[in-house]
This record gives sequence, C-alpha cells and structure tokens, in this order.
Amino acid sequence: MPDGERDEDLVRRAVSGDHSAFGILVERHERRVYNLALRMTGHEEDARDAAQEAFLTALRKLSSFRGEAAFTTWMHRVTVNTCYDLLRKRRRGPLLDRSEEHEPEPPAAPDHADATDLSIDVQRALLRVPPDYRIVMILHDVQDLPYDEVAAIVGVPVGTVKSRLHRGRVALARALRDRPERERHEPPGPSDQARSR
Amino acid sequence: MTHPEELLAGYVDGALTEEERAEVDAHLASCRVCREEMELSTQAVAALAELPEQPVPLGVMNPVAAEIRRRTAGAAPAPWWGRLQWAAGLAAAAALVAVVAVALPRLGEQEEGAALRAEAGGATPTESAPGADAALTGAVFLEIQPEADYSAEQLEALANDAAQRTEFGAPAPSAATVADAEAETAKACLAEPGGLMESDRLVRLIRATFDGKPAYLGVYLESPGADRPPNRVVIWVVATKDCRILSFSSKPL
Repeated sequence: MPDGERDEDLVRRAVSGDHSAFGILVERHERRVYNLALRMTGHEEDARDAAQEAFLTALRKLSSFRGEAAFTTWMHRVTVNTCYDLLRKRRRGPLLDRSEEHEPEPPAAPDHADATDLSIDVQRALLRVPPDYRIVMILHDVQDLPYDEVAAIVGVPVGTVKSRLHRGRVALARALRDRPERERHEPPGPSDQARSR
Repeated sequence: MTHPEELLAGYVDGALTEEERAEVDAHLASCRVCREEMELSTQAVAALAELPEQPVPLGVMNPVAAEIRRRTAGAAPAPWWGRLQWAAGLAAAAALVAVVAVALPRLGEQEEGAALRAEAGGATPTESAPGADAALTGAVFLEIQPEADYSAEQLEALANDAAQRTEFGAPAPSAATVADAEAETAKACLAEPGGLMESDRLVRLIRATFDGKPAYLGVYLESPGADRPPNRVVIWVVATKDCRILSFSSKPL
C-alpha cells in the first residue's frame, strides 16, 4: 500500500521518475510545512507562498537528498531556508501591522473568541522575537521536535539550540507582556548578556 | 556570575538529568535574574502551546500538484500554473499567455439541455459526479447576488457547497435574476487570464463582490484527464472591471 511506504522509499521512487510518489510526500508533510511557515512569517499569504515554494524547491532538489537525515528533517530545512528567504524579501512588519494591506483577521466563532484572541497575541509576540530564536521555539515548542532534530534542521549545535530556546522564550514572554519601559529598566539577565560558554 | 543558560531550557522542559537539575537549583537559589527568566520561560512555553495548528488552505498545493503532473506527463506546464502564480502574487499577469478553450455550450440552451438530460436515461444527480448534470446540459446562468460579498473563507464554503451539491442545474436562489447576455461576458472574463483547462467544466457562474470588489465567480469541475470523471472543484474569481484575478480556491471531490 503506497501510503504505508516510508518517506525515504517514496523519495527513491520519485527520484527514479515516479513523480506521483512525491505527491504522497506532499500530502504527508504539507500541514507541518504550512504551519511552520505560518508561524515563522505570521501571515497566511506568506505562508502559502513559502509552503508552495518549499515543496517546489524540494521537488527540484530531491536528487540531492542523500538520506543521511530523515526526509522530515530535510524538508523542514528546506522550509526554514525558504522562510528566511521570504522574510528577507518581504522585510515587512508583522501580521497586525499590515492590516491596511490585507484582509482583516478571520472572524472568530463566539465560543472561541478568547482562545483566538490569545493565539493572535502569541503570534504577534512571536514575530517580535528575532528569527533565529523564533525558529527554534516554533520547531521545539510548537511542533514538538527534539533538540537534536531542531539542531539538524537549523544547522547549529544542540547547545546553541538550547540557549536560543531559553533566550527566545524569555523574549517572547516579555513581548507578550508588552512592557517596553519596564524591560529597559530591568537588570541584564542571562538572555541579555554575551555568554562565554 | 555565569548563568547555566544551556540548562535553563531543559529545566523548563523537564529534560535534565538529576545532576543537571541540582546544578540549576543551586544556581537559582542565588540568582534572582535567572529565577525571573525561568518564570518568563515557563509562561512562554504555556503560551506557545496555545497556538493551534491551522489546516492548509484549499488550493495551496495546486502549483505543486501541477508541477508533479507536468513532470509525470513530460509536457509543458498546465496553463493555469502561471495563473496560480499570478494569483498568489508570485508572477506578473503580463507573463501569461491566455490559451483557453473552454468547452462550454452556449447559454440559453436550457431547454435543449433538459432534453439531453432526459435522453441520458434520467440519471439522478447522485448517480453522477456532482455538477455533471449541469455540465452536460450547459444550463449555467449568471446568478446575480448584489448583496453578497465573498471572502476567501466564503470561497471555501462555496467550494464545499459545490462539492456537495447534487444538482448544479437547480434554479438560482430566489434573490438572483438571470442575465444571459452578461453571462457570456462573465465567462470570457473568467477565461481571459488563461487559467482554465479545456477539460474544466463550468457549473456555476456568479456576479457578486469579492472583498468589496465587483467580481465574477466561476465554479468549475476539473478532471485529471480527458474522459475521466472530475475530481476537484475549482473556483476562479476575477474582477468585472478588468478580468484581473482576485482569488482562487479548490477542493477535492
């Protein structure tokens, strides 16, 4: 049964000319890829572009996938690189600062209004965290990937992932509190200082 | 003071060994800054856990599917590939070549269509693919919905509705009126950007607004190949003013 095939076997089939096998890979991974792009860019339109581009890039470069890492890891890496490229190109403000350019936020069902408000706040705060810190939080805290896989995706040592995770979380919580004056008066913590280790 | 920064994330995650945890505890006992950051970090993890996973919007992977089909067929890109790129803001409309041959019967053939339907053996709509009935007959009229303002979300609802409808030739909503003369204009406008494939079958035609802009909406059934049943509902939205693409949505049948 094709859907039960391992990703790596599907890659082999696709590389050998059975492109429909790549379609199965897309179905399997589109949700993670799209959500990664959505959280990284903060905007649905950008996430659509990034997810499309990531899969098209993966299709073009599939023969370069050697199987040293899991396909999931490789696909995430392609997606992360695509998001960085897109963020560089866009150089635009975060989601809610662009409301004049785009459609308004989708209306929330009344029962879920509070939860939706909260997730919009979290997304907005996330965009105020620098991308290098944001990405490790998305991969680890949102997508539940282990430290070593995040390290493989981002291309940094595991220790760097851990320290970025801590700094990113602190920055996110501060952004959520939205208290810039207080931040300016706080003494520097470990997240504010250069580390020697 | 040196802060055990690489251990702090693991502490919050509960991923430390006993020794590591004891090291952090000893540090926290004497470091107010780290204690505060641990509190912030814990709040951040809880907040991130509240971010819901979003479904992939309809149509996002169509360009990828089109590229897979193109590679499989070894043919030139499907004509609507470029149109999708344009719709997504990835390419300029000027780069597109409109090569369209929409196999649509002329309008005003409702009676003839009804006769065809009768000749077809009275197949009930549920026995054929959704919309096939109307596509056979060509009885597609322009539905004028002056009060309707569609959004991307409503397009998805329209696609869902189209996928579920069993009879596309049903009378238009009571609020709508029929405008045959304009229907030809609407169809030509939808075809102008070059996104339609020959096998796409129009099953519903609407004049309304999309995000406040006057628009024609065309609901089509797309087949994976000639002589194969439709497997996807595709909706194109173009501006009535200049036939510019305003949006796109699709849903598998």
